[in-house]
Amino acid sequence: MAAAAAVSLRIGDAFAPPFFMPPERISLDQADARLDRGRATFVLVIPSGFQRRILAGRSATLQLNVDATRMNQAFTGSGYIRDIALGEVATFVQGVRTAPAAPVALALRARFNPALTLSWFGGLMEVINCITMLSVILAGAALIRGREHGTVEHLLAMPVAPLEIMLAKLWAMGAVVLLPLNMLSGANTPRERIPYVLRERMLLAPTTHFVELSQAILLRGAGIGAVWPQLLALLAIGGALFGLALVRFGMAMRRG
Amino acid sequence: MPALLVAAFLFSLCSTGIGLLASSFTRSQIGALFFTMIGTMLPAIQCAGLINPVTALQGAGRAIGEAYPASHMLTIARGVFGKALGFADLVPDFLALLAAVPVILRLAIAVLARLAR
Repeated sequence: MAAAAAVSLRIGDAFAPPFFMPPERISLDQADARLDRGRATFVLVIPSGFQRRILAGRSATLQLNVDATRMNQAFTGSGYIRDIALGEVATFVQGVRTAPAAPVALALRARFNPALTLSWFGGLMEVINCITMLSVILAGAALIRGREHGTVEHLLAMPVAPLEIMLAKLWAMGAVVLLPLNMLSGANTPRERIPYVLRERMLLAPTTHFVELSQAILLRGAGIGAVWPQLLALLAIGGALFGLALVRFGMAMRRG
Repeated sequence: MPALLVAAFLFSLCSTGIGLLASSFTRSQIGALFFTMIGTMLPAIQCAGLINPVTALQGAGRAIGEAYPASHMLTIARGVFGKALGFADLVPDFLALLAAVPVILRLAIAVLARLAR
């Protein structure tokens, strides 16, 4: 490994946390092993004589090796590295950093999450997903426990066929909880991307409102003034479901 | 291909070991189920290199990622499938998997023995 030329040092210094780990200077024969073992995702090869060539005004080539099995990093990172490395080379050659004047400027403003921190959104939605999943699993576990404690026999003594009990569980878990509540409530994908009829229908599901109001409160700092419609909807849905369950339960009691 | 088979075998020894460890200090099957689900999926997804490379992590996450068997299995699986590597290229990961098996089993046995007393 020869002593690094000024332009190589300059390119190396341009990569810094938090977007890149501090780059390591390695020789070419170390590159393959690092890429193979997943210790490095990118290897930028600066050929010897690179600085001499560009200073002489001749064309030169940098080689960027990417571990494309790390798909996310490979795609976004290679674009960044290309821009950063070429930008540093251009600055080195011209001696000053010149931003090419574009005919149109795009002013990007990320509302409510200015730094585009993934964890603000992702972490929160995971929590909500976990609550949903846990309630599903807990319901299932409760039924298994019913069998362990012998209460399923009571259920079987009632005028329902085993198939009806099974279908009821399947219906509740699969059709009611898992698919709509988890997939269509807006916790995984924005509600705007769900087909219109389905989207409107999902307003009947409590999770939709729960997701909306948690996002509003935790991400946008909304107060009661902004989320009262969701709270009202939750109250209405909860009350309606509770009432329905009460009526059905009362009917079953009177019949039995 | 034999590399992947051997790795899968070693990794299933690790996984069953973690399962044993979980059931050695939980009282019910549900408890063990939850412990293994949260206790293994969280590090496997967040720290083992599934989403972000282990080398891009810091602190505790990095330490878990370096030690956790799933991250070595991931490197081997990616290496065999995506990079046509063999045993010789992945020796450190195989050694790590091999070392993890007795550690996990030993821990499970120790916990179980303490509970039995």
